[in-house]
Amino acid sequence: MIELRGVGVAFNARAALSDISFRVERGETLGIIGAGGAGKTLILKLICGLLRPSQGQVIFDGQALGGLDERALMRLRGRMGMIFQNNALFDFMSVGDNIAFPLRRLGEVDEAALQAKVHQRLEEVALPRAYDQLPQALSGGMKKRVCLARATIHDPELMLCDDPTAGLDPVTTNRIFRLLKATQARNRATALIVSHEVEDLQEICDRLLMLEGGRMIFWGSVAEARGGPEGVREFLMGRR
Amino acid sequence: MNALLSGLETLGGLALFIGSTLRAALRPRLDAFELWRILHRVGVRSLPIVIITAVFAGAIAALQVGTYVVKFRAYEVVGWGFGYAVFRELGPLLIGLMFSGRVGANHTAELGTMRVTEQIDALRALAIDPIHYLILPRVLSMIVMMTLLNAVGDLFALLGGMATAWGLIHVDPWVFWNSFIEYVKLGDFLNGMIKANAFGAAIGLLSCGFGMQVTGGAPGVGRAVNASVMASAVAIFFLDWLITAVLR
Repeated sequence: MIELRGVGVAFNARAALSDISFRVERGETLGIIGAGGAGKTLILKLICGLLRPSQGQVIFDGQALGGLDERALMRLRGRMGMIFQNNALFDFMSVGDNIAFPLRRLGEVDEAALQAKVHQRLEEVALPRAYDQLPQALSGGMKKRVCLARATIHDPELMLCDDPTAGLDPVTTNRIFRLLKATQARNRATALIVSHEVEDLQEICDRLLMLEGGRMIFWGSVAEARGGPEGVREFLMGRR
Repeated sequence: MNALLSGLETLGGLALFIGSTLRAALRPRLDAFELWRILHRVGVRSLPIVIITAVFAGAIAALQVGTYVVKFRAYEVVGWGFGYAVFRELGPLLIGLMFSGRVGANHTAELGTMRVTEQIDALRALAIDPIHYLILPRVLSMIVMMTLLNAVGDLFALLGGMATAWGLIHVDPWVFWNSFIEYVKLGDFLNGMIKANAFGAAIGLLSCGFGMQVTGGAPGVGRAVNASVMASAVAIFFLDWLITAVLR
């Protein structure tokens, strides 16, 4: 489904990511962990085609993204859904319009069906009365749930989640992870989740990838991580 | 040296942005709702400031012309002097500068904020091309509305000029009107409209270009707004000079 082969990214000749290689199959969940500035977000942006690698290849469903023009990338992005760290909700649109936006732009013309789908998704994320509200009027947790609804309204095959629980209380964090898992299970989507909530990640992920200073220092199953190198174990226990 | 490199980087970025926008304009995929929203914001909400600017521009032109009209008792040229100055020059120039301060700065700030809060990336992640969705409606709206509002401004400048000439230098409105109709040609009006059109395109492209290049959070947005207003003013004066030279 997704494969990175020797990927590196450099800004002004300074390497931000070096020699990253891994593969995630359809329906799998990969947790990406590491200290701040390790390059976790960059990996999601590379996969979404928002950033081009300085070296190596990003392959989505057998297609190398490097050789695609912006138009072809747009088509592929229609199969992905991304949750941004700071939500990136469109502040000039209501919550309902934010969620409906991808479907409208992807050509969903039956307005009644579209509205029904948006209302259903709002019910699922426990925001049934938020349709007409503006994003500015919502709390952090509510914004995250709207973001999740918008990223998944078109049932993407690949979900890219950049710190979907940043700054949230434990109850809301748990709710977001449950929603993510349920949404993913519905259409057997692949999910890549960047998060600092290592305990939750261990519960919902099949594999973990750990980065340090732009380099991959661990890649394997959750069980392997628990018994893995000392740096990984300490990170999982919150000691590093 | 760093400042020079940074300036060249900005110029290069602007050139690439303008190239992409013009390329997208050949096969536009406009969102009707977004276009309507921007047309309303750029046009309808600018109407009061355009009317105020135009009335005062007309009044000032009438006063300046009127001083000599009274001195030489050349009442038959008062409307011509006013019309020539306002329709060809003052009207589009002042409305252009107002537009760059009001609408252009707004576009830069809005797009810059969208960029630093990752809303532009979110659009791309949702398979939406920001050039088609955000930029083309803004540039198109600037061109259309700047041209239309310039025509409205001409009308209000005429009223302001006539009222001032009548109230302060005692030129009968009919004398003013007859002189205006007699000597001011369609070409004078069209000259101003061409300038307004060009100013609208320049402000639209520059304000959006600076907005899309913002880096560095809120201070970056502030710097981009500043640069956008300055660059638009320079572009307006340059285009004014160029069009005047070509169409003289």
